[in-house]
Parts: sequence; C-alpha cells; structure tokens
Amino acid sequence: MKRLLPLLMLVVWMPSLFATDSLVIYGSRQRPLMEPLLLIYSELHGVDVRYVEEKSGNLLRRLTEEGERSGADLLLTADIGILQAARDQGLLQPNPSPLLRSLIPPQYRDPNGHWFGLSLRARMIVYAPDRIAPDSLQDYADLASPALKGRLCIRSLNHVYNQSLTAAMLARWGESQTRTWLRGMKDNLARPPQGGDRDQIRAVSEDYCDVALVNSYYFAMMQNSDDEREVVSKLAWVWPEDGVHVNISGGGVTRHAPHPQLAKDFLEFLAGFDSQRLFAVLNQEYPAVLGVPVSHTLMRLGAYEADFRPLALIARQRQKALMLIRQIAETKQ
Amino acid sequence: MILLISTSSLIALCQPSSIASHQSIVIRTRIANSDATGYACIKRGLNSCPNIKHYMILRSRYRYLLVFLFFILFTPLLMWSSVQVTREQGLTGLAADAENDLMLYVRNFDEYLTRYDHLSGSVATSRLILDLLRNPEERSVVMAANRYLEALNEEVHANTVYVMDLMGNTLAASNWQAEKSFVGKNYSFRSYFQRAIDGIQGRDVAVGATSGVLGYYAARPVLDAGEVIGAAVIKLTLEEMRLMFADLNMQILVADRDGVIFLASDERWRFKTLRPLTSSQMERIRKVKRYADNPLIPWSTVETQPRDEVSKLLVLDDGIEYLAQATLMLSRGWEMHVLKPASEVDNQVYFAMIASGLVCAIALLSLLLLIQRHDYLQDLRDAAIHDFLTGLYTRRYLQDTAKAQISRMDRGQVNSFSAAMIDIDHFKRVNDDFGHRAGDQVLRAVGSAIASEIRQGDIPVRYGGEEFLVIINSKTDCDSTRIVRRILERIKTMSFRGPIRRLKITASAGVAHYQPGETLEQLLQRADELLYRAKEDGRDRFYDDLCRESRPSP
Repeated sequence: MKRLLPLLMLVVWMPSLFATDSLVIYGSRQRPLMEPLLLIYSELHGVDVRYVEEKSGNLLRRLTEEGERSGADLLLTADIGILQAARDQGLLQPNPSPLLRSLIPPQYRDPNGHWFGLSLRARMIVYAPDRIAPDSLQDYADLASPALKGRLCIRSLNHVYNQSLTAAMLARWGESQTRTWLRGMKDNLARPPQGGDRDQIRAVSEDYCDVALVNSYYFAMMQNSDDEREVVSKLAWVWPEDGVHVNISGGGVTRHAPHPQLAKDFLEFLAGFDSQRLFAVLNQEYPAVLGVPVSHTLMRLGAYEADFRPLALIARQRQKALMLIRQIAETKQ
Repeated sequence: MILLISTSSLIALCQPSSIASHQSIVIRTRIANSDATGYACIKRGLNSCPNIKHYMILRSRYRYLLVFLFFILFTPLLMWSSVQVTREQGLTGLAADAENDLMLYVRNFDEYLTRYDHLSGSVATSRLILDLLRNPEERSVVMAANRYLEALNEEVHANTVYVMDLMGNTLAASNWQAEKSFVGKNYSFRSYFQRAIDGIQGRDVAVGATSGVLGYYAARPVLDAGEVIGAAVIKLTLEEMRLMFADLNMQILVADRDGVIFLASDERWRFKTLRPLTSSQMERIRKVKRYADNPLIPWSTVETQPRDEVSKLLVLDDGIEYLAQATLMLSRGWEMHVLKPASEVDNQVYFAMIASGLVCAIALLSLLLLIQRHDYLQDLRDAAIHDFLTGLYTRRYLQDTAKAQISRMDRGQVNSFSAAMIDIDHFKRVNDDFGHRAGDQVLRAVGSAIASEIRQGDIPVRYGGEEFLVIINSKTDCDSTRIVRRILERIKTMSFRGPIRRLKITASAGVAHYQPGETLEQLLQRADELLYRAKEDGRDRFYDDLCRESRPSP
C-alpha cells in the first residue's frame, strides 16, 4: 500500500498538473457578488477562474498598460460609460455569440458584441413625500424645476452614473435642453455634490434635501438592510414617466485575451437562466435576460418603462455629455 | 390504518385472549427456571407466587403497550416530517417550473406584441398612408387607405388598423364599414398617440373609447421628409393571449406600470390593482381614459409569505394557495406574474404521508412479530426442558447439563457431585384410591419439596412417573446425603388439602456419588440400584454408596 501511495497521489494530482486553462477576469464587481457564480462555473466546466477585483478606472488603465501581455480574458464592469470607454480604447474584441445575441435584448448590448449587459440598474428619483408633492415629480426634467431650488441632492455630475444619464438625456432631448437641465439641476443643489448614491438617500432622509437621484439597487439594498430600512422607510420614489434610464453591469472579451473561447463561454454562462437570477438578485439588480424572475424587493418598487434607446446609441453621446458636464461645472453659480 | 392496527391489537391485549392465557402457562414454567426469582418460587411452590405471576404477565403486556405508545407518538412525527420535507421539495420543483413558465410566457407574449410593433412601422411607411395624410380630403385616397387597412387587418389578425392626423382624428381605419367605426373619431387623449406625434413609438393598453374593448395599441409616427404628419396605429384585443393563458394549469396575470391587471387567465382579476393607486396615478389613468369607467379595486391576497428571493406563497381570497413568481417587462413597463397552484405538490405530499404511514405500520407489525417470535421460542425452550406438572427439569435437560457437569468435575472445577434417585412409595395406591388428580397433587407437592430443599446449582429432574432425580453439587462428599435426608423428611411431613388431607406420603432414594471416569448412565444405574435396594428393604429410606452415615431414614 505504501508503495502505491505516491502513484495514487500522482493520479489525483495529474489533472491539475495538466490543467493549464485558467480564465482570468478583471472585474470591478465586488468579489462576494461574483464568488458564487465563479464557483459554480469552475465546478461545472472544470476551469480554474481567477478574479482580479479593482476599481473600473484602474482596470482600464491596467489593461492599456499590459497591452498584449495582459493575462486578462474578460472585463466585467458596471456602466455603459466604462464599457464604451474600454471599447473606444480598443481594449475589447467583438464577440459574435448567437446565444448572447438572442438572450440579451439589443438595447443592452453592443451591436458588434464588444460588450454585453448582464444585469440592469435604473436611475430613479427618491424624495421625501412629506415635503414634495408627488405630482411635481414625474420625470428627470422636473429635477431642474425652479420649485426644487436648494432641495436636490445628487452625487458628482462627473461620476460615470451621471455622465451616462446625461448622455441618455442628450439622446432624448438634444444638447440645448440637456444643458438647461444640467444647469437647472446644478442650481437646485442643496449642497455641493458629495458621497455616493447611498449618501444622497440618507441626506433626503435626514432632511438635508428633499429629492435625490440614485441607482435603484442602492435603494433596494437599503430597503433590505436591517440597519438602513428605517432610513428609506420614510422615503417615496418615482419612476420617470418618459422612460427610465436603465444602465447595465456587463462585460466583454478583452482584446488580447489568452483564452477568448473561455471568456465567451463564461459570458454565455452568466447569461444563462440560473446565473441571471443569481447575478441580479445578489446585487438587487434587474436581470438583463427577459423572463428571469425579479426579486421581491424590486417587484415592490413597481414596474416602469425603460428608455427605449439602445445603450450603444446613448454611449455615442458620452463625449458630448462629458463636455457639457465640464462646461456646467465651470459655470459660476 | 396505523390507528386501526393499534386499536385492534390493544383490544387483543386487554382481552383474556389465547396469547394472554398462553402467556400465563409459559410464565409458570419460566418461573421454574433457575433464575433467582424462579428458583425462589420453586422453593415456595408455584402457587405461592401469584404476585410474581401477575408481574410477569403485566411486564409482558407493558412491553406491547410501550411499543404501541412509541409508534403512536413516532408515526405522526414521521408523517409530519416526511410531509414537510416532501412539500418543501415539491415547492422547490414547482418554483423551478414557475421560473420556466414565466420565461416562456413572457417571451411568448413579448414576441407576439413585438410582431405588431414592427407591423405598425410598415403601416407608417406605406405609400397609401402617406398619401392619405397628405391629402386627407381626397375621397379616393381615403377609400384606398381604408381598403388597404381592411385587407391588412384581415391578413395580420389584428383588431383594427387605423391612421390618425396630427390632431388625433382618425382618417382611415380597417373597420371603416363597421357600425362602431373609428373613422372620424378623435383619440388625441391617448398616450400612444402623443408619443407617436412626439416622433417615437407609442405603446399602450386601454379600453377602447369607441368599441369598449380592451386592447393593446402600437403606434408609429408617419414621417414626411423628417416631419411627423400623423400616426399609424394597430390595435390588438389580446384575446388570443388571454385564451392561451386561460387554458393552463396555472394563473398568469399582466399588470401595467401602475399595477393595474389588464390581462389575466382569471377574468375576475382584470382591472384589479396589485398595489393601492395614488391619487396622481388615478388622475393619470383617468386623463388618458385608459380603463374607461371600470372601478380599479385592489386584488386581494389573504396571506403572502416569501419562500426565497424570487418566489413566494400567497393565498387568495378564494382560499387557494399559489406559488408565485414575477418579472418585469421593462421595454413596456409591465409586470407579469405566474401563479402555480400549490396543490400541485399535494399528490406528492399524500404519497409521502401514505408511504411513511405504511413504513410505520410495517415496522410496528415486524416488531410485534419479532417480539412474539422471541416469546414463542422462549416458551418452546422452556417447555422442552421443564416438566409441565412439577416445574422441575425434564430428562432431556438432564442429558445436556449432567454431561457438562461430568466434564466440569473431570476438569477439577467441581469438588464432587452425586445423583439422588427418589421414588414415591406406593404411589400407585394413591392413584387407585384417590384418582389421578390426587396423584398429580402429590407429584406437584413432591416436586416442590425437592425444589425447596436443594441449593442453587443443583438440578432437580422429574425422571419418570413418580420417580425424581436430583443432581447435587457438594463441597464434601456427604453434603448430598444430608440434602436427600431433608428431602425425604419434608415429603414425609407434607400435608394436603381436599380428599387426601389425611394422606401421608413417604419416598425412598438411592444416592450414587460420581466416580471419575464414570458415564452418566453408569452413575444413574448405580443410583437406581441403590433405590431398588431401599425399596426392597422396606421403603421410606435411602442408601448412599459412599457415606457411611447413610442409613435408612427414621
């Protein structure tokens, strides 16, 4: 038996010795949100998956610096702004997967398959119902209304979430109306932009302001959290009537991916039915694939009509949006 | 079923049934066994141990009672837990089914509507429609448009296809010949029209202002050199979808962004609201006349309990429990709910209940059979080695034990032992004078006398009719002699009840001490010869082959 032991060990270790295929993912999504899916994929396909978590800006910089030497196969990040920037910088490669094209609605994917949305988040308006009449808030346009002067809380306009919203409004209204809107919002600010979306919600709850513009999953997660349920219980929300800006968390195969096929497989795995539910539910997001059940918390927030304009189209307005935001920031009050 | 078995068996236990009476016989013989209680009982005579007899019978009954009690407690517990586990598993399976159905019907529904969304686009680009909006007064153009729309409507199986100008007036419609034709009507208050006029696709659900029929409207702007000049609209009644949903073994409902159910497999749910409507929502619905004058009352659920992040159990006011899942159709601003009746898992639950009940019943029966088998085997063993009348051992038992005794003696584990053959004097006379009942009475009394004088470890045997044998272990050679003397004296002083109360009994005995190398037969032969000699010499005495002090008993 003792003589057989090394042989046995060799047999057990053999597969891992030869398993050189390992998928490397650069992601800005928090590891705990990815871990269950990585584990399932690893087990199902026998592929070793390495997840490198960093802020999206850093990931793009790293991919650029690494160039052809990059070990990354897949970029997983949030917001069309980042994904489009990655595409524009030539960091992603087209992925013509018919499966992904059939599963992901066209408005949430790049026409050439450089990026695909995997979960959706909506930019929603949260307000204090005791201080704001519900009728006065029906669309994003109302955030610029003079009636809200000194009552609006919003994170920095320079943040990618607001850049993408501005791009969406540019696609909807054109430059002039969007500029006026941005200026109106700036005039309405209750305080200089600070903190993240959660901070804006807390600020409304703590009476610093009356209205805030936030991403849906922050609000849903606060509703689900024992510590913060109290904070959000006082607040009401409104889904903008003329189409809600829905953004994505998604990914694309990197330009110099050592294992492009593995990266495509993993994207297809994430678009699968079970993964979609898990991917969305873990972060209180909406699944990108039509027909996947939505969490109770999000269902309680109600249905809304998403902006019908494809994100790829909205992404084209990005540069203009950045420019407008810069101009508005430079304008003195 | 379990209860039935339990009850019948309990009744059987409580009645003086064959089992019970058999038990008493068995117990009696078992008492004669050489355990401490039984031995004491032999010493005092079987009839002097009624308490122990009852205790044994009760103990045996308690054993059955305990088994029953255990099963009465355990069976519901097992059934309850198997029902819980099965139901939970069933619901998990049902949730997976609901997920599949949700995906299937949402996609089906969306694709069905999308076809018409695209179709409205082709209507909007039709040359005839462009002509119509350019020359709305030209009668031949209007007629051509009407005919075109009518033919198209028939071909695509829509409800109505119509074209509106910028003011919202319907210029031509597929139902231009119908009594409730849309032609000439103004629908500018509809949101789909307003959207189309704004240059984007308009999609809405509403109760028809003219027809009173609820439908889905897909509108597209008609563009002339980049300018919106009107809108092309297709109306569907959604009846096809409703019929499809109604045929399923589940419930499906679709609600708009305000939570108003406009399509449901259960017709009664239509126009119910999933959430209470705010005044601004009511106002908005009223403004576009979306649901005409239908009262929008809440859809009542009695109880809602989430199962996991995406599925929940809900009980509706009709008392039916459903497993529900929902999803959003973000491109339309709707939500779809799939409700699968929880009763679908009932069959599995019943099966689990019956299966666990059967398992318990089989386990109970098997245990009862095992206990009974064990008891019967014990009884058989007892009956084989004990004499029925006196409770002493039989010759069969003697064969085995005495041989073992000889082996022990040869190995030096026992100092010495002897065989005492005891025979009742003139026993035939007792039988002749007083009958066999009296004879049996005497035999029982002699058996008791023998048992009361011997020590633990000695083997009392009923050897023949009135002949008894005792294998006596002794520390010194003449221990056995003293014991035999005491036995004979006790027999002599025995008194009886009934007709033989005056009877005096004596017995004779021959005591042979074991000599190394001797067989059991040889030993017994010698004891028998000594007995014979005692009988010859006048009875009421015993002879011992070793101890000099042996003499005829006085």
